[in-house]
Amino acid sequence: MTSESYVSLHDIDMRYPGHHAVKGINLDIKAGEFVALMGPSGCGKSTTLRMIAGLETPTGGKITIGGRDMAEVSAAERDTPMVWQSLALFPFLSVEDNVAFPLRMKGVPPKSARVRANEWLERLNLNGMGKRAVAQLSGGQRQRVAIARALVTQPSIILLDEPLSALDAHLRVHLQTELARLHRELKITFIYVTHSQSEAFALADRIVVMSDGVIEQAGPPREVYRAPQTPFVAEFMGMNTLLRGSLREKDATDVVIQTPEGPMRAPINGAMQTLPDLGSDAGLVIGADRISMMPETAASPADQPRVLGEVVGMDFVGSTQTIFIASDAGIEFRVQRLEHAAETFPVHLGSRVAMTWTPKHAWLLPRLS
Amino acid sequence: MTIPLTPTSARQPQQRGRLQSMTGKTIKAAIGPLVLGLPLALWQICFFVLPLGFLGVVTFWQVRNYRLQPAFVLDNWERMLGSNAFQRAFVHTFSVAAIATVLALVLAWPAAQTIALRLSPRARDRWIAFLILPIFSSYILKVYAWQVILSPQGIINSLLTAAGVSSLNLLGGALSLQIGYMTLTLPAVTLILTFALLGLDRDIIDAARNLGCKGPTLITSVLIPAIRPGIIFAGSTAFLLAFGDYGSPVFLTGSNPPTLSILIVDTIKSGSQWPRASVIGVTMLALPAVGFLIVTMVKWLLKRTRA
Repeated sequence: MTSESYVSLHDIDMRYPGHHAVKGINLDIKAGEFVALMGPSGCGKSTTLRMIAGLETPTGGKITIGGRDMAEVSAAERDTPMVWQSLALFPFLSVEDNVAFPLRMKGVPPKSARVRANEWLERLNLNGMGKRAVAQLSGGQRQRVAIARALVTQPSIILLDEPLSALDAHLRVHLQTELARLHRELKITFIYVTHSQSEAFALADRIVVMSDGVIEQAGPPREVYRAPQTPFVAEFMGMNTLLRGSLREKDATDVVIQTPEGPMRAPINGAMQTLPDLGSDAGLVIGADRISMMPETAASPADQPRVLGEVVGMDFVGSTQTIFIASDAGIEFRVQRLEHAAETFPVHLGSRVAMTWTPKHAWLLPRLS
Repeated sequence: MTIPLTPTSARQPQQRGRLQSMTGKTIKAAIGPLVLGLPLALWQICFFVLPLGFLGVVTFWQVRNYRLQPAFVLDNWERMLGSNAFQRAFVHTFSVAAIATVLALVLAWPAAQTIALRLSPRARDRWIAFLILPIFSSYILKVYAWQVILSPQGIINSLLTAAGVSSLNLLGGALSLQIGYMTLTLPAVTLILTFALLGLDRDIIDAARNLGCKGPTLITSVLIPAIRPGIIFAGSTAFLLAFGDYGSPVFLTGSNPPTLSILIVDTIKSGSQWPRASVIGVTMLALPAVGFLIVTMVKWLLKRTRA
């Protein structure tokens, strides 16, 4: 544990009968940091969050919050309010009483609890909604009530378990901005479980990618995206193409990996302590926006790789196009380009295309498992 | 690996065909529930509404020479409602049923909370089966067993005498009556509360704990308000079972003091007074209806004053 870490997970283990959910993870979170826990469902991210809240008791390891060992502290005694995906608002209480609930539990008199609850409702643009029943609010308004309820006690940490997943895209972006604003204003620690890359990238100072109960990689969003440490992270971050092969050559600056698409050059990653031996397994990753696509007949720049393939899928998000290309060697490539590029080079399902990239943009994977 | 594809040609529903079949569909939609609801409606009419109506009519008939004769006299109502025996029995039955209701809810709650919220799904299913089982065995048999256990020469007193303690008078009091009522009501009340708690969103309980709620406060501020309809259902079930019960008062208190159901039997036995017995029966049936009416009116008034 470093001196500045606020929440610290040390060798945390969680075993259920017949299921090892979290396998000895270590994580230090700084005070005021916004950390996103990401990973596929069942990877242990929600379990980790629930252990921090004290709703689950780890079967091994130690959790400290603000330097205090949490082993003997019950969920009710921890000041770790959580926002649920299901919201978990109390349907039998009015909006105002929902927000005042944690204050009442702390023994704040009803009158001042109500005043403070209404201050938070105002802060989250819910003026005048206090007397309403929860069922009378829209999805976005309910989500704000849940956030107000979690923040009303002015905690130094807030836990969020996929808080925006149940909302439609427009509202999601709106509330995302709101969460970012709250984090900036309150300067408290946010731990945020999500499967959405865009939410994590927009909000988090640091992303923790989990898989099968272990932390695969933790780092700033850009680093996790551009410099994945394992094939899992490279695949999970979506817009990457992964090429596996064996190490054929290495020199002072570069390596060459023999892949099904032929020999591919990549710069040596400075962070890597040791390079694998010649002939051993190796992998490289190319970001979707690093690959350029051209007609099959056009020539690629010399000393750049050239891969031929066929368009098998297309995805549009506003101004960005993602094109899925099956190479002739049977590997799936992902290429992203701006939508207006379709004006000069239109493609459709079944189009034959050539792809190329600058070798220095290829990323040599430090680990293969 | 799967590749996300945007469907380019979503199938358009055929609007015109839909409109044309609309009228046919509306007729079907109107007739369907009628046809399906008919057997239940007939059953209710034959075996509930008609007998109840007959019961009401009989209250105005007369008994002459131990024979029932159609008439229209208010004598039965006046005599029964005005009689001391009826009034005492009514107050007695109402209060013991009310005590049984509270007792059943209080005794069933910890069991229901444990079964619904603490046990593993497997253990939970076993305990629920365990609660359903007594419903299949005869209630009278169980009450009779209690009589044997509690009687002056019964098991408990034999043990007490063997231990050198003077025997207790267990049978024939408020305690033995409530033991009988609990035998009758506890399984049902526990089951209703268990299912009500099982239907609760677990996140709500976690959220309450997460926001600083624990121990008894969790029960009073979250669990009870969250399953209030279930508690009302469980409570009214307990009340109605106890209010109309005949077995426990007869076997465990020796009909002393009499409850309303005992009064019905006595009224019929002594002089075939079917009309007067019917008055008691109708009053007992009317009570929950009146209670329901009052609750609805109070709710409506509260809503109006709030708005």
